[in-house]
Amino acid sequence: MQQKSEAFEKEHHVTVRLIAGSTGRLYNQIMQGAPFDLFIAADDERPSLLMRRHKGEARFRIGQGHLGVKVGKQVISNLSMLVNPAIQHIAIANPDVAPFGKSARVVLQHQGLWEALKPKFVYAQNAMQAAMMVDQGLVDAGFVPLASQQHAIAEIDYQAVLLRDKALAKVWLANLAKPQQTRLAGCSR
Amino acid sequence: MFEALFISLQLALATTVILLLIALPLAYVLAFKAFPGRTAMEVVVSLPLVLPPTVLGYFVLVMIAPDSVLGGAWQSIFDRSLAFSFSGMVFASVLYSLPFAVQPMQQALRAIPVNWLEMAQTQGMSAKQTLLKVMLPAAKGGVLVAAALSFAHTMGEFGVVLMVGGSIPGETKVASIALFDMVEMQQSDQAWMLALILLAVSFVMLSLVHAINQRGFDVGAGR
Repeated sequence: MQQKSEAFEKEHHVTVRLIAGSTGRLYNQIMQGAPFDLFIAADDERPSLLMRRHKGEARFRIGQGHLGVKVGKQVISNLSMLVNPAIQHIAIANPDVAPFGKSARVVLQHQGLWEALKPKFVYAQNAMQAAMMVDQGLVDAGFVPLASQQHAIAEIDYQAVLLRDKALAKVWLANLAKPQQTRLAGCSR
Repeated sequence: MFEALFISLQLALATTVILLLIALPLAYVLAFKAFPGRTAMEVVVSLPLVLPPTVLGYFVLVMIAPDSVLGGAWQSIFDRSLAFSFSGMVFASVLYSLPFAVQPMQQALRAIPVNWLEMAQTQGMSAKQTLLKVMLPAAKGGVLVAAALSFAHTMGEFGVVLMVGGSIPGETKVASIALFDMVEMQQSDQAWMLALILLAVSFVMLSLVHAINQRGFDVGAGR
C-alpha cells in the first residue's frame, strides 16, 4: 500500500495520506464525519454497514489477504501442532474486532481446537501486531498475514468503499487491484 | 465488563502497595542525599512522565520476554511466563507510575523544616526514630497523595498494559482496554457505562488528592 501510494503521488502530483487503524475504529471515525475519501477493510460487515447508512458511494472487492500460522520462523499448516505444551503463547488478532482474528477463530472452531488453544492466546489489536510479536520472539506462535496463498489456512476478502465522489479517488481505486476488482452488486446509490 | 474492572482494581491496588514500599526510600534518598548521579537518577525516575506509554510498554515487554534475562529467570523459578501475565503487568505499572509516587513524597520530605530534624538529633533520636517519629508523620500528606495518584494513574493506564498484557480476558484485560474494544465493536451502551465508572473513580481519587493538599496547606499556614 505504501509503495502504491508513493507511485500514485509521483504520477498525479498529489499527497496520499494512509491512515492505519482497525476496521471498527475507522468505521466509527467515518460515521462521526472523518474526512476520508476511501475506506479499505479486510471485512464485509463494516463496508456494507457504511453503504446502508449512506456514507459510501460505491463498494468494491479489491483482493485477498492470506491468513497463516507461524511457529517461530516456520510457517505451518497443521494446526494441531499448536496443542504441543512447548508452545506457551500464541498471538492472535482480537477476533471480536479484527477480521484476521475472526477468520482464525472460525477455522479453529471448525477443527475443534478453539477451546483447547484458548488459554494460550495473547490478543493483539490486529494481525500485523500479532506478526510482530512472533517475529520478535515475544510469543511462540501466532496467526499472521502471509504474502502468498501457499500454506494459507484461510483467505480474507479486502473491500474498498468510495466515501466521496472524487475523480482521483476513483483512479486510485482502479489502480489498486485491477485484475480482481469486482464491483459488488446493488451498492451504488 | 465487571471482570475487567475487577482486574483494573486489583492491578491498581497491587501497584500502589508495591510503589509505596519502593518509592519511600527513593524519595528519601533524592530529598536528602547528595551523591554523584543524583540528577541522572531523578531524570530516570521522571522518564515515565514524558515517554509515550507504548514505548515504555515495548521496552518492558522486551525486558520480560521469555528469552530475556529477567523473563528467563522468572520462568525457571515460577514455571510460567512473566510476559502476558498479571505479574508482568504489575511490574510494568510500577515503573510507569513511579514518578507519581516518588515526586509527592520527595516534595513532602523536602518541606520538613531543617530545624525539626536538627532538634530530633539534639534530642538524641536515632536515624530510625527520626524517620518514624518526625519525618513520616510530617510527610503523611505526601504519602497519601502518592498513594492516591499511583492508584488513579494505574486505573487509567492504557498503552503500557496493552503492550505488556496481551489483553487476555480474566487475566490481563483491564477496564481501559475493555472500553477500547467496546468502542471498536460499536457497543456504545456498555462503553458509556464503563467510561462513566472510570470517570467517577478518577474524580473521587483526585478529590481525595485535592482534599489532602488543602489540609496540608492549612497546617503549614498555622505553623
